[in-house]
Amino acid sequence: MAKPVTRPFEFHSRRDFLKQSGLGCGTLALTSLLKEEGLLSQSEAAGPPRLMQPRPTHYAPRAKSVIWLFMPGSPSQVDTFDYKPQLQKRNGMKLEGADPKTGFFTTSGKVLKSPFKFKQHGQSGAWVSEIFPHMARHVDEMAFIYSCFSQSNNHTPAMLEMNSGMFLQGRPCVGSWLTYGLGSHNQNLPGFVVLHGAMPRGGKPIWSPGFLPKVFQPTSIDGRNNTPISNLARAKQMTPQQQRAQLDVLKRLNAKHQELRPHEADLAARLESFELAYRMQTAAPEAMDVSQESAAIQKAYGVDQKETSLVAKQCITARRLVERGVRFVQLYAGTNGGGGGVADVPWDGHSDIGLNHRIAAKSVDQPIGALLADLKSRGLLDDTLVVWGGEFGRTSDSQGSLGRDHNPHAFTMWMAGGGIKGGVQYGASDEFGYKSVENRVGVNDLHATILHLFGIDHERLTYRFNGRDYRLTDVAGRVLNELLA
Amino acid sequence: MLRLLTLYCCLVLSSVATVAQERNAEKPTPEGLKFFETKIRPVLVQRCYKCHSAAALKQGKLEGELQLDTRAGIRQGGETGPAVIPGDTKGSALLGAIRHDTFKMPPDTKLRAEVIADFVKWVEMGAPDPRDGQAVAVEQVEIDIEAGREFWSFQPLRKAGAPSVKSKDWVRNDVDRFILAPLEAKGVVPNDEASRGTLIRRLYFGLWGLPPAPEEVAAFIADDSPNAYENLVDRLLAGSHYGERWARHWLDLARFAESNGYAFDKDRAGAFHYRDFVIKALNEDMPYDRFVQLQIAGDQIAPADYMAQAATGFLAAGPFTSQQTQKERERSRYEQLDDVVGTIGTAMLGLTIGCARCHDHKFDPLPTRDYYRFTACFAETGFQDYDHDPDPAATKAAKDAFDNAHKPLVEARQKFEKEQLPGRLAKWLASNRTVPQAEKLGVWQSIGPFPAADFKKAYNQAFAPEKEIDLAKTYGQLKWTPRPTWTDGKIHNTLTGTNSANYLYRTIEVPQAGPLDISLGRDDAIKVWLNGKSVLAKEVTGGVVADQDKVTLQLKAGSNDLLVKIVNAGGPSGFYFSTKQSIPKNIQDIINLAADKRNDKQRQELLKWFSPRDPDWARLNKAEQDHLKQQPKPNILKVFAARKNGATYNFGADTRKVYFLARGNSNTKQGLAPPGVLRVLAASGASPDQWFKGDSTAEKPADLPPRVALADWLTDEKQGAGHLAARVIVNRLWQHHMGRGIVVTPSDFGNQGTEPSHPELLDYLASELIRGGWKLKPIHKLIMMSSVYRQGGMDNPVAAKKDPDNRLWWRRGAVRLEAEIIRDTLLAVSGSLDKTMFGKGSLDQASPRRSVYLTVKRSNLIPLLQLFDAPDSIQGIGNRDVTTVPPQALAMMNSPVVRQLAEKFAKRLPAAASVAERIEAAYQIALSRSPSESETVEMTSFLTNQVASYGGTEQAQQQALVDFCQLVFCLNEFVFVD
Repeated sequence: MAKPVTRPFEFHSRRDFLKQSGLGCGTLALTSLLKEEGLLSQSEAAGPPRLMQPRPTHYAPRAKSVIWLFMPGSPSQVDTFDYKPQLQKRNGMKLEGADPKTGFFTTSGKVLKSPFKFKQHGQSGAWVSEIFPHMARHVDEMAFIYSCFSQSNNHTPAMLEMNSGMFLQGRPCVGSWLTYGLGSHNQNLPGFVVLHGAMPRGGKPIWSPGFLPKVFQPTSIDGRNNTPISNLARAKQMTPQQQRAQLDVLKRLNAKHQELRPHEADLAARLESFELAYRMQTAAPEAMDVSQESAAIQKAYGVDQKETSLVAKQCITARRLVERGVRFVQLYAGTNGGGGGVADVPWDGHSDIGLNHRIAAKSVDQPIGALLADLKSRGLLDDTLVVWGGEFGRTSDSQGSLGRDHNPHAFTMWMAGGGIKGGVQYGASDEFGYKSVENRVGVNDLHATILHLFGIDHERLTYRFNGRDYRLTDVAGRVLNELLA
Repeated sequence: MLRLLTLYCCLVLSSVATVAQERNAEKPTPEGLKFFETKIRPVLVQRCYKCHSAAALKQGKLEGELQLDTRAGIRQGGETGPAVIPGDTKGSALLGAIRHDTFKMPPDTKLRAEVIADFVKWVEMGAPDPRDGQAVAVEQVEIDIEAGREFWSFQPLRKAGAPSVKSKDWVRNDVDRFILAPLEAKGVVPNDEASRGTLIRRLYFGLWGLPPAPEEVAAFIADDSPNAYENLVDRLLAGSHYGERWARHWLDLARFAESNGYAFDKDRAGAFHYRDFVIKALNEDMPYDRFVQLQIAGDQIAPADYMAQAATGFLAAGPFTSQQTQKERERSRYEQLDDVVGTIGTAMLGLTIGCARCHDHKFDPLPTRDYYRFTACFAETGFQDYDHDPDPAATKAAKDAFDNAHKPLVEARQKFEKEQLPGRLAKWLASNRTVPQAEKLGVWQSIGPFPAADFKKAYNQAFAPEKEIDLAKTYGQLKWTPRPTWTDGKIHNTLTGTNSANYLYRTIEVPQAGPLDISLGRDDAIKVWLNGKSVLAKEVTGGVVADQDKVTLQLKAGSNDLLVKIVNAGGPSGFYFSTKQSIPKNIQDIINLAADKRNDKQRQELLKWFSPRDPDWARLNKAEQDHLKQQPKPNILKVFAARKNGATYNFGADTRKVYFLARGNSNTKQGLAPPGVLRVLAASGASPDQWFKGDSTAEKPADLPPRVALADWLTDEKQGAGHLAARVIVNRLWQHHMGRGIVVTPSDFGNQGTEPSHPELLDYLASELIRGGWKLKPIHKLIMMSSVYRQGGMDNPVAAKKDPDNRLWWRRGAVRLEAEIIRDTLLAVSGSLDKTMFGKGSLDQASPRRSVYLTVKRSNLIPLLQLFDAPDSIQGIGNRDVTTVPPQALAMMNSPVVRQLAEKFAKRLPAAASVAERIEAAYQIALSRSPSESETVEMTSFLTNQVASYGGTEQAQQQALVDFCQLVFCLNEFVFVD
């Protein structure tokens, strides 16, 4: 029998949900916050609460927002951060214990050296490959996890696993869980935003809210054409004043309708939602407007260069969003570098890891380096957690002569800011970087740690669906205390 | 050799004997003990005891029923068998676990490689272990099925009479007695009936999901017959919109979708038949037990029936990952079966069967064994498109008629081949043997010149004729021209254009497939395609002469398309074409033989080659082939459904088997699982296997197909699960009519669900369902005829104090319409609803058809519906969320779809009417009522101001009216039904 646990976020029904999310200090937090921003009039402050408002946590949080830099297709650990001199020494020789069916295709079983040079950086002396010169400057902010592994060796299931803890469709992703647990600090913007270029393999379901209420679904924005948030623009012929007039009448009529139905909280909530929507029409485009940044900032991120322009703009957008209180930003980054990679999995260097990774890395390195520097200089890094990684790793033996296949047994991720101890090097893969062997870290452990940084006990963040209390971390998960500042 | 083998056997035997001795004697050597104490025990204590020891058991922290703190415990092992077998490194489960091969133990950090090596060595040494003492008996929390049946939902239906009540005036039927009794006990007076205007909206949205037309509202309000209300209920229940509205509730439970999901999200073009089945079944009031049975085993219960075929789309509707690595397949198959079993559980039984996959259900009497036996009912089942012939009799009749007409044609040809052809062949062989023409060459058609920047581009660029050949089409100034004067075997130097391409086209018709040699010339470059496939490409320059290129075309029987591209750099341009009539070598060899030396096969081959060259044979053959084209094609439907041996993940011999798995892991099989039912839902006296046995009077009863048996059990209200299935479905009807179920967790009737607020009412409704032959419409009517259904939403301070959450139903709550119904209402109110039923759906959210016909593509869900909480169709869902968020408001304010519908609505309002009359009309259409005086004033002033702000023109009037219509869409009253 499972022991009874406190479930501050469990809602048996919609009614309970509204009630629980509406009462207690959560309401206070939101109300005071919006009042501070001058966004809430007196009458609105008295109105009913909403699902996205900030909620109290289990314990004091270290982080307020996440920027998750997702590298679809999966960078190779041994060509980026997990330096393995043995690969150079034994290039072309048999890799003991290699399973040629580890990945999606069949590998050679022969060691493939990294085509890149490695150097140690910072006071922590972390090894970084030459393809990441900008990121390398920030290793002392980063905590590296060299011992990640996944269950799945195939892109879509592994992306689902990385996001939701489960390789199947239908489970809520970490961003949805986090906004469900915490709400968001800015009601005029979506609490959870996905920034992408080419749609990553697996499409929208990889950032699905699963069985959680749809309000925890991310707003996804295609950085290539800056697809705005749906329905943000009013009809062409209508001025803001004309729409305001419409909404003023609506407000009065809806209020009268509600007076006769005092028990229906949803009616009041809906009345309010139109006011929020009206304000979102101005707040959201402003938040996405990269052109408001100084020329120096734009240049630092690489907006002016063809290779980095897309990710640079996305990184600036990510920073602007967290600056405005958006809870979770997930950025799918990397430009198709060939070498086996295609647009929806740009890091998938099946046929030529050198060619592929040079180009993919070029597109992200400067923007990410600039993002870290920018967050730091603005004091945002303290409570913004930055996460970097793909969905799995790559093989230490070759696929064909120059490529690497998928490898679920070992990969590297790093985290920075938001309560992470900089300069940590945690866990280890074997001498070829083929399997993680020391302090192995599964996706559940990563998620547990992230929730912990936000003041949430991952075992107590539950949601009941179809008769079962689900957790982001299922029945596992360990907070990686070694990484915490 | 024999001696060697014997010796080897002895050795093996002796090592076994040693192990046995070790085990019996339990007298480990001092070295062994030292090894254990220094290398093994500390690790066990530090890394394992926390979850695997007597202490852990005591604290309720024991995992996997495994205790590693005694010798007995470690050897006995846990759920997955012995942890350590002395001397047996393969059989010792502990080693697999610490290597993280089978389990990942310890779960946090893997032991260091040297430590793992120590454990291997220790097992090889015979696992010396001084720790005496018994493993504390793990209390086998063997689920007590008999005791489990005591739980309320597993109990048979109780037939309690309706209680007596005081306010008899309020009571219309027995439903009301069950509701009123607890209200009276609490001293709460239920509300009176709502107004007619409110009732007709409630009924329309509840049963049809569409608003009533103003004239229907007026007629109902004016109808003073005592049966006015009942007549309306009957009419709506009989209408086909009923099936469309209620099908969506069931499709939610069935996680219905029309694509695979996952990375490539392949479409399932034949999946909509399941949606149509549900609509049809509801409209024809198919008994619910039959409805369930067909969805589980329709393909086996009634193999020829469309409805039965389509019904199994229920099993097939789950997600499927089409891209799989070999290692994922078996796991994925168990996931697929888990989806099927879990969906049946929640949708039909209100049980979370899936929870028993890795361990016995923690709250309900569902052991893991039952889970796998239930799952095994689907072991052989797979899912794909099946050909369904809706009218096999007509198909057969048409085929017979065709065959009768076709037979004489075949016979005529055969007769000719037998009686005439040999003679003609002989005559030809005796003659000069010029090869008669067999192929028919069509007239040349040409088009061009298509210009390009340079010669290379002209050669490489695929101009229009390379993409499609349509002689009727024109491309700018260019069009196809017939060239009857272009005879074969001559050079035609008449093409024009510089750095450009001309295309030549002709058909080649042959009676049977075979090779044809052609000879070509070109100026300059040439490309040739036969039936769209490239057969020649030469990027050359120079003048044309005969026979520059020779190509053998492999022609198919019938008409072939030959396309030639001539690319010219500059100057004159042209081509040459001829066919070469020659006798193939194999035929020539036969001809060279003396007639009496040719065997039968060679004679046949020679005849076959010769036959198309005989004009009479060709005529007979053409008649036969032409007629063949008229062969009737039955109207075959591709129905995505379940079948025995249908498509699924293939992983070899175990593909269509289900094993008992330890901890749900397909790498830890524990024997083949035979099909079975959930024992807690088999009556005490019944045998859990009885549904699977065929006719017991037969001498050797054959087992029934497992799904057929399972379907029978599911709906067997006397001995099987039927009573629970009935409770679950009547609760769903109540839930959708009343806004909340009698059991508030409609898909969980287990321990973790809520208990029924009115258990007697629930059992009464379930009993009524069964008594009425499982028909749903009478239950709908029973509920809707009651006073509790008809009551108003008025406030009552006394009642609100005693029952603030309205658990006893003293008032009617306002209900927000579901996503589909909001969209359907927008369509209906704007006058743009297309009422076409059934068939292929659409992914376009602006489609004018009802939302139930929008295609459910898992990676491309309809945005407008998603905004208003439509499900994601991955898992079944019994109770949708109702969220209220700004993006919904944005959609109503700004979405082009909504704006266009507002424009249509505005156009629908009487054109030559006063402002007040237009407002009146809009309220009647959208809200089924007249506006109040203050509403008219408010709206009139809004319209006046908007018109002024738009500039006061005619256009401004229309613009303002659209703003007004959109404003009506945004009213809470528009999406909330009282």
